[in-house]
Amino acid sequence: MTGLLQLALSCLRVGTFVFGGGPALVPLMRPDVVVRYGWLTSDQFADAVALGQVTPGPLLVTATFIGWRVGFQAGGTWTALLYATVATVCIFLPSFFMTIAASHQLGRLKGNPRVQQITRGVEAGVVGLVAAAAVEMARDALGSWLQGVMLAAALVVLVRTKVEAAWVIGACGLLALMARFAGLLS
Amino acid sequence: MFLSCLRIGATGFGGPMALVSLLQQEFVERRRTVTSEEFAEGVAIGGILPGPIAIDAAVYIGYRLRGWLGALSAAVGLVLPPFVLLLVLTPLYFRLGRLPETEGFLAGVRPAVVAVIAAAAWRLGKRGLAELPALSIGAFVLVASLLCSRIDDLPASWAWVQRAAPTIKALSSVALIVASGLLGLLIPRQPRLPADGPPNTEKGAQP
Repeated sequence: MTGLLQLALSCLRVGTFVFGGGPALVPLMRPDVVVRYGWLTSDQFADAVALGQVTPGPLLVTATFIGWRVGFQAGGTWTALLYATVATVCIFLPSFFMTIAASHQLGRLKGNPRVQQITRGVEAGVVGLVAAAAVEMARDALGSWLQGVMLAAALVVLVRTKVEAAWVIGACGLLALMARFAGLLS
Repeated sequence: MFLSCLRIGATGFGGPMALVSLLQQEFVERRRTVTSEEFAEGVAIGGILPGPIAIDAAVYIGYRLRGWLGALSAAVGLVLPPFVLLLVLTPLYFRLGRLPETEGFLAGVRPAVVAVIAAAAWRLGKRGLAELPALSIGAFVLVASLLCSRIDDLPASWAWVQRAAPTIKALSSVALIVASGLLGLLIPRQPRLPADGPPNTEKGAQP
């Protein structure tokens, strides 16, 4: 039960502060999931983000994966279903209520110069957070030089072209699979 | 509303702006239930508030059209398809994740995910760090965040810091977001962002 409460609070907190869209989930969620509670290994977390990325819809459904894992460890499939549902609801709930609350105040909110300043500050801060999260993930994800090359190549493709992330992820997976069979990747 | 969002939720591959443009096609162009001004307002709200911009915009539209029920069906409709998909894929992942084939595949997925996150930082940064004050906030947060996650590398005499390390690591992101919002108040105001500018819909972001 503590696990469920921790999960719910963690997702509510992430949902409250996930400014700037999906990728901001990573710096907010990873410390809780990987470091503080140890729900997932660093690799599993990266895989969860990959699944969130290749499925349609927002990246925040990564919470479903995490909830499932925590629940399954706690007591099998039905518990997993419950935990996954709680995690997903909790991560979307804060912005749901905030949107409805804000829709009454829209004129004041949008025209307010202070809100604009805060928004721009947060936008800038989120860039730093997401970049730091990428560095942290890279430290754990890179086991061989080939993976480093893949990261660099994928980054160039993603920044320079409009190829969608899901394709890049799939392509890198296939390349790694071939490399492993060729003996290039242990 | 629910069915439209369900369909968009099931087909909206390709990130936040793809979803936004699908919503726009559905509600502004095809069904004409929302004017493009209203839609732009929803997108503006989504940009200010936390959460995925498309969900915020859809909830706003749903709420304007049908009240709480509309907002709820928009959110549930958008989230349900990926939620169900994840419910299928997650157990599959934990069952098959240890196979040599899967492990080989995932060995490539992981660096690609890092690249996706780094590319997201790049994309957000191009817009968010355009001016010097914003750039310094971003740089400050980057350094502070990296330091917070490296707490374990501190010398052993800093035991009191290390005892608090899990908490610091878990809360540093929230603290830094709040801090950067406050620092944002120091950014000189810019009159070039008119409150009621032309509806800036996401046509340009559509691939």
